[in-house]
Amino acid sequence: MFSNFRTRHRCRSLSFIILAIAMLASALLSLPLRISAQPAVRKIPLTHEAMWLMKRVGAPSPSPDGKWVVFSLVEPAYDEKDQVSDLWIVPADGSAKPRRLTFSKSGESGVAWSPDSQRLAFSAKREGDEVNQIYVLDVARNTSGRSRRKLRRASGKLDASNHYTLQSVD
Amino acid sequence: MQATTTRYKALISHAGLINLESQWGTSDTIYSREVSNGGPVWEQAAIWRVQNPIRFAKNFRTPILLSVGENDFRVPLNQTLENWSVLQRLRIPSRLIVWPEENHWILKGEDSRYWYQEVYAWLKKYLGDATPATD
Repeated sequence: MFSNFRTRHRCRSLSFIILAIAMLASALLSLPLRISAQPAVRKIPLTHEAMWLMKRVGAPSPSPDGKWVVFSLVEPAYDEKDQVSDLWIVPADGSAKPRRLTFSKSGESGVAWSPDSQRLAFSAKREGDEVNQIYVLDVARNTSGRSRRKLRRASGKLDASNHYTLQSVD
Repeated sequence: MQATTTRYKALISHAGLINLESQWGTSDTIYSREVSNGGPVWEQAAIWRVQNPIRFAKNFRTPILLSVGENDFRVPLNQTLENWSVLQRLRIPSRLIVWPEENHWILKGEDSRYWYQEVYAWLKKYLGDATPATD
């Protein structure tokens, strides 16, 4: 009987402590929000320009080691020939701003990381290409995008869900 | 909506269909239309008659803004031109925009911007100048 009471009491104390921690945590979490809150921004009607020129972020491709995220970014323009689509890279923890990885006229697609998170393969039609080629970028060595080279032989593995894993580059 | 109600002050139609019979012969989908309409045009199953908007043109009243892309092969240009002819013949306030470089969608930036300006102007003309809510 007595021990039952103690157990119950301990349970109650424990839940109180958990509740207190939760309240403290939520208070702390909401603190930065309150600090960063901007003074009321004047609302303006949405214009065609605002919608049309809004940058479009593509699906993220996280590196196997979880440190990086690569994504495509379309920067639209009213004239199609001024539209740009490139790959960008950002640390997964958001500790640095995204950097542009590619600088070509046409876009890149089908991004695939090497298993060691050192290189990035993608499909693109660059100047002089008749059809899309597979390009490989050495992400670990140079994130400027200038050191890309055309992939001549690739070997990899296609899994049941049609995911191709790049295993080696010649 | 053109034929069955006068509840709207104005209408806007992009790539609209007005004549099932000419759509049968000019759209890129012929056979499936035949199947869903109960047979080819010349057999005149009920749908060809009771669901064909142009047959109810005498009821058209509402002002309408028409728009069509010349490269639209699904609901081709002729549909909008037929609608335009009916509207002009009946002296119903109407406006026609033909996009030489667009298809079933208005995809080019400048065309899109022009299109929304036209839509806004058409609505403003018939609904008045409603100031967008700012708060």
